[in-house]
Amino acid sequence: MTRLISALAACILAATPVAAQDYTPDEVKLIVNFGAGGTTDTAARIIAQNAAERLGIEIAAMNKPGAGGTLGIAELSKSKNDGSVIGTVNMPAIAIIPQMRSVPYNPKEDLVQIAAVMPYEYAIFVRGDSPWQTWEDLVAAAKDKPGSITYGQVGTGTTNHLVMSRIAEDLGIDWTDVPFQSGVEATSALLGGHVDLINNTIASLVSSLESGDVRAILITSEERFSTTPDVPTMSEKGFAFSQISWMSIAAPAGIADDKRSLLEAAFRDAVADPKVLEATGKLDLHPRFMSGADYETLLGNMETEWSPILDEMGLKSGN
Amino acid sequence: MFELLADAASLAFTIENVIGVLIGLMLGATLGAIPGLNGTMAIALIVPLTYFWQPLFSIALLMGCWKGSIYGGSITAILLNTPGTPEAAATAIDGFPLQQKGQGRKALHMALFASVVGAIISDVLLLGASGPISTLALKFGPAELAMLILFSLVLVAGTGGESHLKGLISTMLGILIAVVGLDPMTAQRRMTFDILELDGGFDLLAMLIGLLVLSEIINQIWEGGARDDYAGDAPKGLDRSRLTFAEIKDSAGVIFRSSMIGSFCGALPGVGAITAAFLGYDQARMSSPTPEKFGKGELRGVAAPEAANNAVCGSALIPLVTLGIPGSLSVAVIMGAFMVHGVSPGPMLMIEHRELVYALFLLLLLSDILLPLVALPLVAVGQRLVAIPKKYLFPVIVVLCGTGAYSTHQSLFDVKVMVGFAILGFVMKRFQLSPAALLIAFILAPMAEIYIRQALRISRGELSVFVASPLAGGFALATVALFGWSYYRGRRASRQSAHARSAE
Repeated sequence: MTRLISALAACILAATPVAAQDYTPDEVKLIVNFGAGGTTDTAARIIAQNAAERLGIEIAAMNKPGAGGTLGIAELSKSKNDGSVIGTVNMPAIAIIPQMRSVPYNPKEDLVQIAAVMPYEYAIFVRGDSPWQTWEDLVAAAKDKPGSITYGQVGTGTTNHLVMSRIAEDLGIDWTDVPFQSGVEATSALLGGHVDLINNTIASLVSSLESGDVRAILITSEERFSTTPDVPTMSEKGFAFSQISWMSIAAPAGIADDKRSLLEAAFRDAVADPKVLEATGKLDLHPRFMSGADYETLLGNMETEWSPILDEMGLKSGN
Repeated sequence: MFELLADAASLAFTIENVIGVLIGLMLGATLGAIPGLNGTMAIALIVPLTYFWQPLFSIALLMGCWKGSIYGGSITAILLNTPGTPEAAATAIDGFPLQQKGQGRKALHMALFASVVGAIISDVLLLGASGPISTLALKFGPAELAMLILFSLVLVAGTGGESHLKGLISTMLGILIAVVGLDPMTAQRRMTFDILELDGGFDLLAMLIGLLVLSEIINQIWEGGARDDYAGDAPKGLDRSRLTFAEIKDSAGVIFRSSMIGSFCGALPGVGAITAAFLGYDQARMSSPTPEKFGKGELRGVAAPEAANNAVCGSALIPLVTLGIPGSLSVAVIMGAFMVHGVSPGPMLMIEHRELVYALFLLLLLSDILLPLVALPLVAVGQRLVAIPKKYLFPVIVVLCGTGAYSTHQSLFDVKVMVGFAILGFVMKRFQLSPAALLIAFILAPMAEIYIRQALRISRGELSVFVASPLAGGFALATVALFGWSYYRGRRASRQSAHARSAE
């Protein structure tokens, strides 16, 4: 009898650490806050799939696109916080858009950041036949003829737009922004010679970079890009800021701490997995990990950093 | 070139790929024919599966699905006046009256014939002239596009109605509804009443399902009552109408012009198959010696939009393979399927994967040729469906409408939008206002707005930008000419009818 009890006890003891590692529920919904089928969606699914395997659960992705990503986030913030629902979140929808117009969620109170999983990479592009070879050429031209240079941006209040305005402000130059509805339309306008430059994600232009149809002139995100190793970054050119935007995984506020850490660890390992990096590399996307806590700090910084700029540009709500 | 084609053919024409095309066509045409569902939904569902498949097989299946879907919409547009896809909205204008006259079978066969011709012309252009076409498409900047859209607006102004005033009311309603959402330049809210879902404007699909399909169901129930049990006043007995060679010959010019219009629209980013279909339809109407027959069962009014909307598919790949720019939503999704296999669409594609690209083109042509094989049985099934009493058929369609509206954003709000627009569409139909005119205004007006504002931003407010380039100036001139021509025709027609009345 004693033996039986001790055996049982041993079983329970042995089982406990495993139980602590067990994520529940074993079916989790991932609300993807952008459209199905594109490259970012594909990358999100690859990462989530890998994380799910590590947790021994199923993650079912469901797309809820629209209104700059805010629709999906609104749904996420209203979801159950028992760990059964997580979602992708894009930085502007929680740090910039809420400053521009009212949204039905409070990014700090309604959401918990589990992990940032992929930084977006941006650059300023000119056409291959443009006279400007370097960043200095471009700045000189902009100073020479104020207002004559036009750039395509992919939506008012996007990081693309804000960074270009801030650069102009810093350097005391004046260039004209032309808002397009998407990166695709801005790229067409650049290639057709209707605008002089664009600020866009690098991933969408890799093929045109390789063929020489467009030239990257300045990387506006933090690190140099593998396809264009010679193109300098903003910080190398002396700017005190850069174009930072991540895709992160978040959960509704109130999710249990142990669940949050299990998810965080799973996503940390997923974005370090060579298989994941190889698959996303084909999409020219490069996942990287930042802990949820660090990302929340970064978000706070972003919000304060962009607040006066938005105000100055007349984009703050209430203006 | 010959060697390249031979290599490509050996890559393309494997058993699996042919099966892929067939499955895609079948899936697309069936989903396209079902009101509420469409091929883009099927494509988005299939894409995650394609990670595990051969790239050519995946792409063949996806393209087949897209092409099948655009054709499939015409079946229910003609038989029930409920366009299976938004792209077939223009087809219903003359297709349904033909069905009511007992010539539905003829209309269905004409739609199929025009679709196949349109698709082949577009694919041949893709195969042979993608370079020059993409160069031309790039010349269209904001100013040129603004003028093109203005021209289009004038061309489609009289769509689907006899009265100018009623046409104008529908158009203005469409423009008003299109204003809802974030301002495209300043990102400020316009008429959203603080409803977050409206930030992106009304969802096109939900709105169209309500406006075109659900409203028609309500209308037919309202009109039919206990009087007839069958949808769309289906004539009794089996429809044996045949498409004759003379009719094909009669429509040949219209089909060719529509195919060119569709191919051109496909190559321009942002101008899709719905616009192409209406432009095709209205060029046929405007160039016809008997425009008054349109809307009452004119066979050319079926041929024109079907040739145009199918011609969009092939040429929509032109900006993708030459520039890496997806010309439409479906293409953007298909682009994802290229990329998971390490094939980045863009200028390097033609250099690094020439055989693959040409194999893809050949598979597209194959899908055009195989379309009748899939379509003819569907047409037969469709004709049987019309013989199902309304009380069984309509509830199913209503459920499918709800499903379709819900699916894009997985949102009940969109279902409400659908119901709202169904009521609007019903009321419009009671007052003989054309929902089709509302739809095309809803699509074109935001484009006109954004392009005009972009052009003025670039020119720093100089109005001369709209006539500065030969293309913009040309379209500006054409717009004025078209305006004059339709005014002249309107005057002549009213004089003639006045003359006829006084002679009585």
